[in-house]
Amino acid sequence: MISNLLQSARLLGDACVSFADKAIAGAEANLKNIRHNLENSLMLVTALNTHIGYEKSAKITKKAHAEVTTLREAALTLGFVTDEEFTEWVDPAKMV
Amino acid sequence: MEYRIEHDTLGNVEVPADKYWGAQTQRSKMNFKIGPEASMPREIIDAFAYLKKAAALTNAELGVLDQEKADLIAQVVDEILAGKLYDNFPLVIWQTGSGTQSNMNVNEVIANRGHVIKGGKLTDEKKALHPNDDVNKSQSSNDTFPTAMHIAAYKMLVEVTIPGVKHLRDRLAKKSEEFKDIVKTGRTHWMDATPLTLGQEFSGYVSQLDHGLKALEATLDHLSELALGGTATGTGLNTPKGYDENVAGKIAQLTGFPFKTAPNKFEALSAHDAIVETSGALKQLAVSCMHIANNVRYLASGPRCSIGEVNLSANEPGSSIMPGKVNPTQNEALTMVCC
Repeated sequence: MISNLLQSARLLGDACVSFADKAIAGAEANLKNIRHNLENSLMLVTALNTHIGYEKSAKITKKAHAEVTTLREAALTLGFVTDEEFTEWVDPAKMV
Repeated sequence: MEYRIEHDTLGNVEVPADKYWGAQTQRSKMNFKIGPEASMPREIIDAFAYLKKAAALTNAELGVLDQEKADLIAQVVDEILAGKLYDNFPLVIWQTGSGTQSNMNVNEVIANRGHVIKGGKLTDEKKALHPNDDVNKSQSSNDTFPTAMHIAAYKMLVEVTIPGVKHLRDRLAKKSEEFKDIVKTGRTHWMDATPLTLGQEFSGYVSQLDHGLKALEATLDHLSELALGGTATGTGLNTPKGYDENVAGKIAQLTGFPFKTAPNKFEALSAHDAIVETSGALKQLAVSCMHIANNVRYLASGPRCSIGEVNLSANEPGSSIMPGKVNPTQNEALTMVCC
């Protein structure tokens, strides 16, 4: 019992230090991939919920996904928002 | 190998001539060939050393042991704590459930080494210290072993675990601050979700460790309660008045940690709830660290064909066959530890 507890307690302490110094300390954000993934995320559409409702927003998402277009293109084609409204409402920086 | 004859209540036993242990240690060594030799953790041997010194000094103070004998016990204990006698503790953890044989191992080594320090020989019939009557005075395996467990666990948490986890917590907090303005996509169910910042993600890890540390630190109070003074069944038979509080105070003094006598010796002797409690807190932290290490390695996956939102340091070549490959090895080590 105590042998296992001492082993666990030591391993956890040591492993945290190792992980902190050898992995986390040098961790950097890959801005290029982060931006690419963010811009492609269909879930940015969630910001439109409070403006045009969940169901219209879902239509935009499904259309964009099926036709491999951007959310903006799908939204404008469906006529649910204007270009200016989209720019103002779908802003990731305002969503965090 | 040369032997000398040691005896206990069951008769004579051959013991390696150059070792300080006695008959009971030798019997355990022969009767329990289970797993690797000398598997009893050093931390337990050290914890026993502290409590033997504290018991001897308390016994002397309360007039049940000669001061000279107490000083001799203390002198051998200092040698044990300095790491000079570790090859005299050969026993395994898979022995009697009470740990009596390890308690006797410590008693025998202290008695025999004390005798040699006084100028005696290991083959002498009469020794300067008796393992049971002097070194084990006012003690039973039933109160010493749980006490040693608490001392060893407390020290390990305070000296290794808590500082280690705090170090990781602080590193993550620093990164959380560094990444606070980086807006990224979120993921739920590993599917695209609404955005958040990379700093927010890391702040969750910091909070997890804060909660885990709180849980772990909360176990220290129970661990600080010592069974010593309860002797065989918790009643304190064969101890002088005031022994339990005095001896706990001495252990606190020697270790620098706030140990105190357990208010209820029956719980302290017959259960190991504080150890279970500590194990639970460690499990919470292990689950948190598993989550953190896994999330970070998924974010760091790639470099070309996966998520690749975080880059980790390239610490070593990752593959013996795939040239240029680098892997999240630290995350893997942490997750294996957490399992």
